[in-house]
Amino acid sequence: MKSAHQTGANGACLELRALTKLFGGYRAINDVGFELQRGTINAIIGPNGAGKSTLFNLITGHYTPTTGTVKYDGRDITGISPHRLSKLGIGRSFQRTNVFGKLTVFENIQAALIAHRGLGSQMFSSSASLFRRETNDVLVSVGLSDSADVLAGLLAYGEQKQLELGMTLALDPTLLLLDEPTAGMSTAETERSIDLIRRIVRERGITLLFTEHDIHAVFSISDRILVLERGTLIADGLPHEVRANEQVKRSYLGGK
Amino acid sequence: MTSRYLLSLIAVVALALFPLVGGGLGTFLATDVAIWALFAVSLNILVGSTGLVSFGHAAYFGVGAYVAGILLKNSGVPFLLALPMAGLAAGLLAAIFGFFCVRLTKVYFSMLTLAFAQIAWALCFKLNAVTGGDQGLSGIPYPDFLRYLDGVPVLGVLDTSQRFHIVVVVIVGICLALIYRILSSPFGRVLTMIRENPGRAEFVGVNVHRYQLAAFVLAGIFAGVAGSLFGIFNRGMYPDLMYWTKSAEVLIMVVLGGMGRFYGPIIGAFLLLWMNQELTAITEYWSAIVGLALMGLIFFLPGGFVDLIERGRNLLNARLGRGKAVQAATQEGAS
Repeated sequence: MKSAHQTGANGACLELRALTKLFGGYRAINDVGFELQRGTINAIIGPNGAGKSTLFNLITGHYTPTTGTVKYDGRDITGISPHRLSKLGIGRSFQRTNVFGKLTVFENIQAALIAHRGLGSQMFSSSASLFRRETNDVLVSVGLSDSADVLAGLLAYGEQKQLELGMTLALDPTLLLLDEPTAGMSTAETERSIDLIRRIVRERGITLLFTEHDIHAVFSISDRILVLERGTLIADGLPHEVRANEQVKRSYLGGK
Repeated sequence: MTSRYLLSLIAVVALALFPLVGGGLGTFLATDVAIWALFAVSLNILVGSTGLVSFGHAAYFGVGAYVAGILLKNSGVPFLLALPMAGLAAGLLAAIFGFFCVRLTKVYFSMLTLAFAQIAWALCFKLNAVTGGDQGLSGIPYPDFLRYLDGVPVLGVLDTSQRFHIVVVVIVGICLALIYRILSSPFGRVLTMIRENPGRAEFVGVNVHRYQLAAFVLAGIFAGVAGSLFGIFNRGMYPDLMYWTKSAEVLIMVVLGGMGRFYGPIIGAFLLLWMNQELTAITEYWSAIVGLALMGLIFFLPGGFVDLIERGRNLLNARLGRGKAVQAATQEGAS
């Protein structure tokens, strides 16, 4: 745990303190606290139902924590609404793909830019030619230039995920939260996506927090791994430390 | 792009001059269609563009009509001032009702819009002193300036209601152009995002409720303008204008014509009023036939009547070997 804290060394980007979420009597998240260092890649792993998505929803304001606080850049963002979070520089993708199906790939990115740059209040100018260059840049970086004019709903599953990543990147985030970015992808697709994510995140110095079921992918790109089990953080450290952790081996990596 | 503007302009001028050939009844129907077309397109700002199915849109139509009626009859406000004021009054009401409605989703949203509209209707019924209660307001004057057409060659022969048709078509044309412009603006794009995926829209920085409310108010304003035209066209306002069946009627027009395209509700308004006119002459069960038509449409043409038109156009263009250009054009139209 300690060594992971030293890798970033230039301050915390995201800070969770004693976060607890009760659903009725059920403790979905139990006293979770950690800090993410700027520009690092961090994974949360854990068995199904461990509370990974709940934790994401707590960070992004979809749920209000029962107790505890979330701080971003030193500022309290606990329970703040999603549209304000994205203005602050926090981008999020969802576990289930989440694109604007009846807009083209180009329009999806363009729409994200329009919303993010606050142009939505303009009623009497035309939207068609806005942000052409920026949109194309994003499409190039996620490798979708060739499908610019395809309706997003008609894309293959893996491409929709890429598009979602593109929409999130269009917001120029400093903190990126990706919930299962490779869910439903083939092994080859997963590998390509993980490479893409790593490249972009490193290039732009983005702080990444992601959940992922593909353990191989997690260990290949993470600076730090957090293990969640039944709402509680049971391990937190460098990949080799987590791999060696007895409790993690027993409850999660057991079979390997 | 410019050819589209030119075509629209020609269409407006041609429709405005319809009384010269349409005669009395024809002109009456054409005015009716034009007003309902604006009403239906205003509803489609919510249904088709934002994904909010309002079931109480008649409230704003009715308020527009009453406000225009009261201003014209009791206060002697000139027509060209009364019209925007009626729109603004309807927009104000939409802002108040909408504030609560947009906090709900799906069927709950629809039910609340319906409930508010019924409240507006009930108030209208009870506030005798202002609205004339169930007697309504009658004897609403036509705009003064229509008499200036006396001296104009060709148009001078038209009677007052035929002259009013010209005014209606011009105003509806301007309003439709405004709505079209708004829907293709960045604001319109944000509405599309909300329709497609409100959760995602929120996470690229859209304050969903605020934009939904803005759409609700806009729809209310244009419904109010349509309502005020309708009131004057009818020479009176009655609580019935706000009754829920009117909300249903305009929603049917939107679905019948097709909510996926800008001109869908215009076709829907024409179809419903035309069927109404033709079928009532033949059978008293006309509404059953409309019901059957609607059923058939929902099963075979879920995109509304415009689907048929688009398919025909695509087929025709494919035959002519211009498939690619057409696809690009349809995609442009869809966005």
